[in-house]
Amino acid sequence: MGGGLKRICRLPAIFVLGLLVSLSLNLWAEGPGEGSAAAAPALGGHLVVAVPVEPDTFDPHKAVAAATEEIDFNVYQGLVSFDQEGRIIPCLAESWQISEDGTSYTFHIRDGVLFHNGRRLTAADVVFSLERIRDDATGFPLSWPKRMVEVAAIDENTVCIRLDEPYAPFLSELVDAAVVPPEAARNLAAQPVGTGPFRMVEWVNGHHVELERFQDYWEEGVPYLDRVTFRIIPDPATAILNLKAGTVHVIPRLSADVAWDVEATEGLKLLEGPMNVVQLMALNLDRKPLSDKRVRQAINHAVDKDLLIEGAAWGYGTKLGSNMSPVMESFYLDLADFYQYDPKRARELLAEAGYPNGFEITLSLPSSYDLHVKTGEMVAAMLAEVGIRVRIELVEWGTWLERIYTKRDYDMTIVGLTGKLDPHTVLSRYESSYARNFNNFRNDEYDNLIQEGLRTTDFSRRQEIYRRCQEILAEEAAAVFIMDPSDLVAMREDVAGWRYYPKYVDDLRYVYFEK
Amino acid sequence: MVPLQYLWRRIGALVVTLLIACTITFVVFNIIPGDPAMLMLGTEADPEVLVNLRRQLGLDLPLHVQYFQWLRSAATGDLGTSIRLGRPVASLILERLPVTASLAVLSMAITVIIAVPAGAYGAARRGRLADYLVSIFTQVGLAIPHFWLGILLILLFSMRWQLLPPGGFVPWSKNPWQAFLSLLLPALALASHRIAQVARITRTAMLDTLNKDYMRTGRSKGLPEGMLIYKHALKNSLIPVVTVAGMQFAGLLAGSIVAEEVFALPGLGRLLLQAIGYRDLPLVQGISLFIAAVVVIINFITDILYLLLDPRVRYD
Amino acid sequence: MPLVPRRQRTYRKENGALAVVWRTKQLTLRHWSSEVEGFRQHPRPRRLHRCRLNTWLGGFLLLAILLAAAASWWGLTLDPNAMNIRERLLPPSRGHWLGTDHFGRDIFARIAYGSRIALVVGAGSTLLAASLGAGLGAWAGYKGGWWDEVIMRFIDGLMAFSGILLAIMLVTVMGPGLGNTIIAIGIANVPVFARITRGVFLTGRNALYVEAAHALGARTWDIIRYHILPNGIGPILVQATVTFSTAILTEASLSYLGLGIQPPDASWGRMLKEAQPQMGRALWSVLAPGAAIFIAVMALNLMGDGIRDQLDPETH
Repeated sequence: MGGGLKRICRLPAIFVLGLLVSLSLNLWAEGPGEGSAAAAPALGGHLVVAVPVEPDTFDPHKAVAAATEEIDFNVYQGLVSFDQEGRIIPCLAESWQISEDGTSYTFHIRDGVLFHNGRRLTAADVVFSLERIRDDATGFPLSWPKRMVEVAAIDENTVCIRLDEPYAPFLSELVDAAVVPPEAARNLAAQPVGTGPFRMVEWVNGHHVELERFQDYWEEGVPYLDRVTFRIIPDPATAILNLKAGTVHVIPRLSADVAWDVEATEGLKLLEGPMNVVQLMALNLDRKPLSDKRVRQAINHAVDKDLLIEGAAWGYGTKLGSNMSPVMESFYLDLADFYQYDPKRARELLAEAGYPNGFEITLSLPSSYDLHVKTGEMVAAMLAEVGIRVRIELVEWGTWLERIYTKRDYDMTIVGLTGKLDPHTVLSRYESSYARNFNNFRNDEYDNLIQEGLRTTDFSRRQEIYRRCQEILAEEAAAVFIMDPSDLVAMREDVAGWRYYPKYVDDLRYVYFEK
Repeated sequence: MVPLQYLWRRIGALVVTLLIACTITFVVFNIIPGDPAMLMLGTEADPEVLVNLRRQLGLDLPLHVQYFQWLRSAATGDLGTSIRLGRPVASLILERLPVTASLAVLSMAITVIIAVPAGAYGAARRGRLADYLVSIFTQVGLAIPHFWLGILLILLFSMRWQLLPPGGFVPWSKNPWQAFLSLLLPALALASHRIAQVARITRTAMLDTLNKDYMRTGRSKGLPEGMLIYKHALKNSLIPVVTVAGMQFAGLLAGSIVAEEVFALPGLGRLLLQAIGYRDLPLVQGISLFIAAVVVIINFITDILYLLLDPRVRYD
Repeated sequence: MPLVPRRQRTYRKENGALAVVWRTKQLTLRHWSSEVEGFRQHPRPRRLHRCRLNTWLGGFLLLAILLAAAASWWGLTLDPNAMNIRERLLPPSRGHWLGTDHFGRDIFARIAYGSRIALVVGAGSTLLAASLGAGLGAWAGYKGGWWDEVIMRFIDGLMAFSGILLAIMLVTVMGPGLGNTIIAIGIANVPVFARITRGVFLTGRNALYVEAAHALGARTWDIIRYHILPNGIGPILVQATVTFSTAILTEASLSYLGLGIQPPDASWGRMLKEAQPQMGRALWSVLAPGAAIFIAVMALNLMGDGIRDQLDPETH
C-alpha cells in the first residue's frame, strides 16, 4: 500500500497522477492497513509538522489565515465536515433534514461528544456558537451567517436553523462553523477548547504550537498519534534540512522550488496531490484589445501551459482549461486541452481581430507570490513570440487587492483563486452582478445558470449546470486558466496515513508512524 | 559631570525626535496603498463584509482621529492591538524582543572580542605583515553582504558539516545551549561588517594614542612596549570605540531584519516584515516606533557616555 | 548690497591654496584662507601613501564592473532574459560562463546586467542623497536658529529609522521598481549628508574670514560658494563614496527581500534570492551574484579610501 505512494515519480500526465494519488488515498480511507495486513497503524508517537506561517488567532470564529485553519482543523469541529472528494459528511451532527423549500435545516446532534474541558456537547452550545458567529462583535463579519434568521434548540440534541431564502452552499459553509463551549469563549484566542481529536497544550509565539491527543475523542480508534508539534519554519530549505535531520517529520504544502531536494534524498518521500486552486491569467474584458474574443483566444493559444507548469512549478501542477480544479470530481469538466498551444493560430486570430503586428499590454503580478511572478515572466516571453509586447508590472499584494481586484484597474494579471467545497462559490465569481467579478465577464446564459444552481437542490441538475458554466468560460476565453499547482507533502519514509482534502487542512487523525 | 541644563536640553530634543519619528511612522504607513481589512479577507472579500470589518477594526475613523488616538495611547505605553493577531502590540514586541536582542548582544560580543584585539594588534605591528592581514580582512568584512555570508555559512556549517542548525530559533527557556547555537551563525554573519568597522577604528585610535607625548614619555622611561600598548594605549583608545559600538548596537536592531529573514529567526524584524505584508498598521507602527525609540535612546546614552569619558568635549 | 561689482572680482588659485582676491578702486584685499582660523587646508601636495596599491586594486575591480556593465549595455553578452527551460541549472561551461539559472537564463549575462542596475542605483541614490542632504544641511547650518531646529529634528527623526528600515518603509509606500528603489535609498541616506553639511556650514558661518567677506558685502551665495562649500566638498565627497557602496548593499538587501528591483530586470540581490532554493544542486547560481555584490562594494570602498587619503591625508 505504502509502496504506491513512496516517492512518486513525475509523469507527464500530472492529472492522472493526482487521480492516482487520491484513488490510493481513498483505499486508505476505508481502513488503514487494508493493502498489507501486517501494516496496522501503530499507536503513539510524537509527530513534528513544519508550517511556514504563524497562526493568527485560535478563536475559530475570528481566524481567517489559512495557516491557522490547517491547525484548527484538528482542534475544532463543526456540525458537518467534508471527505476527500469535498462531499459533506456528518460530524457533530449525526444527521440532518432540509425542508422542501430549502430554507429550514434540522440537525440531530451526536450523542456522547465531549469538549476538551470535559463537558458534554449539547444543542445549546451549537446555538451559542452559531449566534457568536453571526454577531459581528464576536465573529468575523462574513455574510453567510446573516442568512440565518433563526437558530433554535428544539431539545437537548436537536437544532433548527431557518434561512431567509434557499441557499444551496449552506452546508459547506457550516463546515467552518466551529462549535465551542460558552464557558471557554472568552479566551479562545489563546486557549482553544473544541471537540476535535487533539487539544492544544502550548503555543510559543513565533516558534511552535503543540497538540496532544484528546483521550475522550468521540470517533473510534483515532487519532493514532500521542502528540503533534507544529513548528513554524518559514523557509522551505530550512524545513527540509530539519526533515533530513529528523527533527521534523512532515512538511505540508512544500514549495515546488525545493521539492527536488526531497526527491533526491534517501529516507524521504514526496506526495503529490491537487491543491484545489485555480491559477489563471485574468484578462480585463473591459479593456480595449481584450474585449475582443478573438484576441483572448489568441492569447490562450499563445500560452504553452505545459511549459509553464514545467518552468514555473518544476512540473508539479495540473493543467486546467476552466475555472475549476479536477479535485472537485463530481462537478469538474476536463477542458484542459480546449486551447492547444498553437502560436500560428494565435497570430492568425490576432490578424483577424485587426492586430497583425500585435499590441502592447501590461501584465500586473502580485510580487509576494513567487509562483505567479515566475509564471508571468514566462507568459510575457511566450506572448512576445506572437507579437504581443508585454510590460511586466509588479504590485504588492495589498495594492493588488485594492487596485486590481477591487477597482479593476489593470489589463492582465496572474493570481490563484482558492477553490471551495461548493461549485457555486467557485463559479459565481464570473456572474456579471458579482461584486468581485474582476474579469468583467458578462454572459446572460452564465448568469441564469448560476441563479438556477443556487435554487436547485437536485444533485445531477447541479452537475449539469456547473459543467455548462465551465464550458462557457472556456468558449468565451474569459481568462487563461493555467494550472492547479500541486500540493506537495514531504515526509520521512516512516510516516504514513496522510490524507488529501480539497481544503487547506492537515488532517492528523489517520497519521501514524510505521513499524 | 555633565551639566544639568545640557542634559535637559538633550532630553527635550530626544522627546521631540521621538514625536517626529511617531509622526513619520504614522504618515508613512497610512499612505501605503492597501487596506488591512482587504488583506485579511483576500480574494474572498465581499463589499458588505469589508465595510463591517473596517468598522470593527476602527479603520473608518478619520485619519487625524486615528493619529491622536494612537499617539495618546502610545504615550501611556499602549501600542494598540494587532489587527491580524488580535493581541496587544506591546506584548507581541516583548515576545519577539528576546530573539532580536540576544542576536544583537551576541553579535556585538563577537564583534568586540574579535575586532578590538585585531585592531590593536594591527596598530602595534603597524606596516608589518600582521597589519596588512588585518586590513585585508577589514576590507573583506566591509564588502561582504551579510546575507550572502549567512547563506554561505548555512551551506558550510549546516549542510556540509552539519555542525550547527540551519535556521530557526530555540527559545532560551527550552534549551539555552541550542538557543545559543541557533544564534551563532546569524550573529557571526551580522558581525562581519561591524568587526571590520570596529577593528578599523580601534587601529586608527591606537595609532593616534601611540603618537601621543605621554606614550613617548612612557617609552623613554623604559616601560615594556607590550604593556605600553595593551595597558595604556588601548585603554585610552577605547573612547571612540565605545561610541561606535553603541551606535552599531542600535543599528543592529534594525539591521537584523535581513539576517532574521535568511536564518528564519522569529525576531522583531520578521514580525515587522510580516506586519507590513499584512498592512497590520498598529503592529507596524508599534515595532517601527519601538526600534526608533531604542535607537534614539541608545544614541543618547552613547553621547552622554562619551561626554563622561572624554572631558575635553564642550557642551554646545 | 554688494560693495564690489561682480566683474571686478577675481578668484584664483595661488600656491595651491584658494585665494580670493577682491579688487575695487578703493581697496585691494588679499584674503588668504589658510591664515584664518578655522579654515582647513585645501588639497596640498599629497604624500605618497601605501594605500596607493589599494586604490589601484579598487580601480581595477571597478573597471571590471564597468566593463561588464558596458558589455551588457552594448549587447555583447547573451540576452539576460532569454529563457530556455530545457537548459536550466546548467553548470558553468564555455557556452555559459557562469552557468544558467532556474529559467535557463545565462547567469553571466544577468550578472553583467545586474552591474548596470547596481551602478545606476548606487549613483542615482547617492546623487539624490547628497544633493538633498547637502541642501537641507546647508540651509539649516547657514540659517541657524529656528530653521536649524526644525530641519535637524526632522533629520534626527529620519535617522532613528537607521538605514535599511527607512528604505524598507519607503519602498513599501512607493512600491517596488528601479526608480522607487533609487528614491527610497536616496532618502534613507539624506540624514548623513545633512549632518555633515550642516556641520561645515555651522563652523563656516562663524569663521572669521566669512565674517570678513560679509563685512565686505559679498553676496550670500558667493560666500557659500567660495568660502564655505570648498570646505564641505571634501567630507561630502568622502561620504558619497561610502554611500555609493552602502547603496549597492542596501539595494541588494531590498531586492533579496523581494522589495527592490523587480523582474524581468536582473538584480544581484534578487538573483541570490531566486537561486537560494537551488543552492544544494546549483552552487554557482548562489556564488555568482553574491561575489558580484562583494566585488562591487569592495571596489568602491577601496576607491573611496583612496579619495579620502587624497583629500584628508591626516586620517591614515
